[in-house]
Order: sequence, then C-alpha cells, then structure tokens
Amino acid sequence: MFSGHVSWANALSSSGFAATTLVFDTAAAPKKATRFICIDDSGPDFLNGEKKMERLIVGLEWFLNPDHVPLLIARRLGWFEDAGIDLRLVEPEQHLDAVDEIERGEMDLAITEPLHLVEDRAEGKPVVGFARFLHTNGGVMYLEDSDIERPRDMAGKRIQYPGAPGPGGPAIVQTMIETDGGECQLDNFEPVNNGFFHTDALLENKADVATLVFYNFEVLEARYRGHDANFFALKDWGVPDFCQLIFITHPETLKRRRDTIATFVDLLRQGIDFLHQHPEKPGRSTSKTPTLTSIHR
Amino acid sequence: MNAIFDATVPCFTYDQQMAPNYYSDLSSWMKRTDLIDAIEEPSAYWTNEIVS
Repeated sequence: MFSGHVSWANALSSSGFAATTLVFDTAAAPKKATRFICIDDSGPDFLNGEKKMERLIVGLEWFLNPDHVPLLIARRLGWFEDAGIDLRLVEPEQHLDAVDEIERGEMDLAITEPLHLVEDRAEGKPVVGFARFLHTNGGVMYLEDSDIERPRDMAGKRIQYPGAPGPGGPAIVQTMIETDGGECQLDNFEPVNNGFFHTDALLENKADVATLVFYNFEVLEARYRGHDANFFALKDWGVPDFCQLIFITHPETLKRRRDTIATFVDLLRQGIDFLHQHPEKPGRSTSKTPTLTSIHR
Repeated sequence: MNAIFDATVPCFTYDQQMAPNYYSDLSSWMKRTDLIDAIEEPSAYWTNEIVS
C-alpha cells in the first residue's frame, strides 16, 4: 500500500480524482520535454461565444499525496472550472525539476519548500514565493532498532536525501549533531540518493537516517509498515523549520497573471477550509456532495 | 492511508502569509552552513501581496 508514488496515485485514482483532476502523463511521455504542455498564457478569451478556460500548470514538489488534497478538492468540486481555470498538476521527475520548468516558462506555478526557494534565489534563478499552505513537523527520520538514540549518534552515518550528494542533507544533520553537543565532519557522512523514497531507504538498509521527512507522511508510513520509526525535529535541534510547502512562480508570471493567481489562492484557501470543516470519516457521510469519503476509499 | 490523511489535514494552514523574519533566519543558517554564498533581502523573493 505504501510502496511509493504508484500506490498513492492508484489510491487517489480509484477515488475518481485522477480521472478528473490530474495530468498523469509522466509514464506515457518518456522524454521530459514532452511532459509539459505549451501554455497559452494570454488569459481567457472567447471562442464562438464560449469562454475558453485559462490553463494553469502547477508542478508538484513530490509525487501526488495527501499534501495536495486542497487542490484536488477544489478541482473535484468544480471551483476551478467555475472560475475559468483549467488546472493541471504535474509530478516532477526529480525534486527540483519544477523550478527549471518555471524558469523556461513551461510551467506556471510550483510547490516547493522554503529552503529551496532561498537556494534558488541565491543561484540567481528568477522565482518568487507568494503563498504557504502546509506546515508540518519533520526533520531526520531513524529507526528505533538502530544504534541512534539522539542526534549526536548520527555522526558518520549514511544519509538518504533526494539531493544527494549535494550539501543539504549533511548540513541539516551536522547542525543537529552540534546542537546536541557532538562533533562531526561533513565528509564523514555517506550520502545516499534513493529519490523520494525515504522510508524505503531505511527499511531496505540503504541508509541509516533520512531527511527531510514530514511526520505526517514518512514517519506514519514507516510505522504502518511495521517499523518503529522516529525523528529528530528540525525546530528542536537548531535548524530553521522549513517543513512547509509554498507556491512559487516567475516574477513576470506573478505580475502578468496576478488576477488568475489570486483566484487560484482563493480557491486553495476554500479547499483548505473545506478540509477543516468536513472531517468526515469513511462511510459516515450521507451527503450527495463529494466529500473526503471518496479519497479514504 | 487514513492515519496519514488524518495527520495531514491539521497541517493545512489558514494563514498563507510568511514573515520576512522567518526567511532572514533561514537564510542566515544557510549562509552559516555554506548552503548559499550570500544573503538576500526576503522582499526580493517572497511577497504576501497576493494573500493579504
């Protein structure tokens, strides 16, 4: 059930969401350049008296998962369509693909984490953030049956992180170790790149720790799979808390399509409100209005 | 799946704004750990104008 992105795609697809909300063209289009549809971003106009939909391509930061449900709710309930927005969600092949697509003008908006926004700007990339929508607890995950009991025990360990062998993962772990009173050298860590699949990396003994994990996903996922997983939270061990998801775009896109983006954010907020106000559990809802029941199946 | 879903819903924020001070702290840590070479003013890459 939790073997990765196919499982989540199937789960959401079986609910009826994927057929109506998602562009899952990554498997069918092996060449990256064909994954993204050319955008007519001149805004909505009229054809034979009918309003044309304005396409908005949003890159996910990861595979489709519950972190993206407010958008699926808004799409499923027809709010984007009513607003004249043809919302397309696209999964990246790599964690940071979306930023490159935005820079090339092949994608309109993307989800990322604050850490990557700052990184991108430091590298001179033309991106700007404009809305946060998720804030969870998270950090570095480990298994309780390992020899890791506190952050300083992570010195010299194998670190799984999607950007490996880049500097991000070791910087996080080193800060935690030093905050815990330990010492370590960056080149003593062994970077492991198991893509998005942090939990698999630990359970398959490819790595000792994994970052960055979200409590609401990987920790629960590992526990569901029968393993006693735990994590050191960023905010508890000297690392600024960037376990948050934000939307970014190109500054020119923000300027040129401001009204559309503002509408997008309004509908995102509406989706979030809906989630908070309709916490129905499976089988409890009797309403004909689509509810969360469908994505619990 | 239900446990993950139930744990995720409370994570969706009512407030979509972020404080410049947050980005100042984050970029200071990133500079200190050599993840970036220079610190830029948060107003250059974050705006609350859309959601305020």
